[in-house]
Amino acid sequence: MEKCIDEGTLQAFLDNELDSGRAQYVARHVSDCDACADLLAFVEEQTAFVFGALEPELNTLVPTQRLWTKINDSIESERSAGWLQALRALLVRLSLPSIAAFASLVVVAGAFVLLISSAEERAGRGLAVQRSTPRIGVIEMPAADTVVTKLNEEPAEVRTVRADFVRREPTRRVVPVRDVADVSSRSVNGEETYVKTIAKLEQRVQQNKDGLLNPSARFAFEKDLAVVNDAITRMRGEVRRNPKSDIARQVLFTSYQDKINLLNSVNERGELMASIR
Amino acid sequence: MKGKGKIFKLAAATVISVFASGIVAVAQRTPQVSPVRPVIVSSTPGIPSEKFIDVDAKPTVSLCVSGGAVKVTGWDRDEIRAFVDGGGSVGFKVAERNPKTDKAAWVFVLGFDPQSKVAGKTEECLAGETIELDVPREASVNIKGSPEETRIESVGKVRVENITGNIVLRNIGSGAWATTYDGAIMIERSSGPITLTSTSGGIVAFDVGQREVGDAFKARSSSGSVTLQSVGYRQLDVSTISGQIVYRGKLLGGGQYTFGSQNARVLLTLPASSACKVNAWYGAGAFSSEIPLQNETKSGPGTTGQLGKGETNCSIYLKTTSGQLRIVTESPEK
Repeated sequence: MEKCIDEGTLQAFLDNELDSGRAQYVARHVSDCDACADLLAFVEEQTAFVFGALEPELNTLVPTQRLWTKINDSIESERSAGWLQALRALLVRLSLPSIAAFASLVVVAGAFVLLISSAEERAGRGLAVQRSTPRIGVIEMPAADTVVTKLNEEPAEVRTVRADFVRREPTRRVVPVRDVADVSSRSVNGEETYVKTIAKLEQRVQQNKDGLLNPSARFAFEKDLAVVNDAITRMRGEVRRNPKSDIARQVLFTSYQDKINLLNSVNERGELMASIR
Repeated sequence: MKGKGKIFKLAAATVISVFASGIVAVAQRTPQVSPVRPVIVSSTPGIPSEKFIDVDAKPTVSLCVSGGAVKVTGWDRDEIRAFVDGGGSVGFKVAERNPKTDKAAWVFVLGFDPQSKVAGKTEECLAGETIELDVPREASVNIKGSPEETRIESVGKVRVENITGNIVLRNIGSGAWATTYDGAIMIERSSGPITLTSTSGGIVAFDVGQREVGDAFKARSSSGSVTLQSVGYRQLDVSTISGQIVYRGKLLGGGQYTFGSQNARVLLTLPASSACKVNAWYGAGAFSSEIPLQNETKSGPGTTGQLGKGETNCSIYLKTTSGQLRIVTESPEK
């Protein structure tokens, strides 16, 4: 018997934070181990509860980060606008003759300095490349694939704020579990078909029962419907608590079938009445 | 004066002739009303209707009943007799003939006589205080409608679907399928595959058994109880929602017995020597057995084990969500 999986790993599994090999191992183990299946169900319920409770807060985080991004963009644009104003003022001042003469002198001196500095730069290029290396390393630090992809697409625009925004995306918990076939089998297979059929039948019964059932038949019908609904509720709880119990599943399906038969009896009664009119 | 009088007479004659011709024209344009047909009542009140028809030895007889008590009985003649008292008429329509004998193989019993040349009501469903049919013993009888009661005895096969009314079946040789939405069903001394469904009434079956290997017995009631005694089938499926299930009798080797109730009691009274595998699931209910279970295994609200000693290949499945499952021994004096 394999060792049971701890709660933290199951939580990571639900959050889709495990690598594919580890996730498959957990899924396989959970399908064979009742205790771990129970624990997974518990953790899932807990997570669902927490996410449900924090949903409003999580939703408000997104606009907050967007707001920060907007503010940063605004600051950037403000800064670029300031440089333009300074350049414009400089051009106005250069239009004066004395200043123009001084400026041309500065330009000549600047060109001379540039020539000298470019010669030095050619000599020490290797050192400059080495200096840039650590900065690239800092950018590649985040581990999440999605973040790296973003960085590769737009390296110049990467900011901590954006990376943080991606990591906090609340929709990520919808992705896990469903991709793993072993775990999805914990839901009651075939239940959906029963539920759909019952929904259709109920609709027809609601439309017709007043005309088809006399008071005593109506009373018996409503009483039996209540009994069956109660049985379905009980059995769904039982199957969730004990997902590997085939007999519990069978009884649940029998209860669904009882409800279908009961609803059908009303509709068939109506059809028979119509056929002999 | 005379001249004036002549003119007056002439004018009056003209006016009268114009009016008369107008009346004639209108009369000619009006469609001719056919003479009113006399409404002929098919059966004079107080005088019963009775008809006979020669049929095949194993005919299918179909009828619809809108009221009254129906009684169908098998007899040793290759003919059908239909009798209606205190109601409408009766007649036959042959839907199919036996190509070898040219006798009717499929007959509809109608609430009017299609052979009659007298015009009348054409109600397909029979109605009357008493409706009696005598049919060949091997006949298959199909009835649908809303009779107050349906009794069928000593025929081959039966198929009944009624809105209301009790259904009583006796000595049915080759199987029965009966449904009533508001009434009880009783069947006795019969064989063949049997399916009984009642919505609000109870179901009682005794002295019934399979005719061929593989014949199944199924009974389902929503709120009525199901009582079975001396039911000799290897495939038995009984279910209710809120009605109790009582089974009294032997278990056959190789049998599959399923009893399920949502919240009512399931009581099996078996001989002390019974041997069968038991698989009981009782949810919030309970399970008990007077006959000891060998190799008993409990798993949550479920118990499995073998009833009695010795090798066995029959199985009992007991299911309830919140009812009581009980197996008791049949004492000789019971």
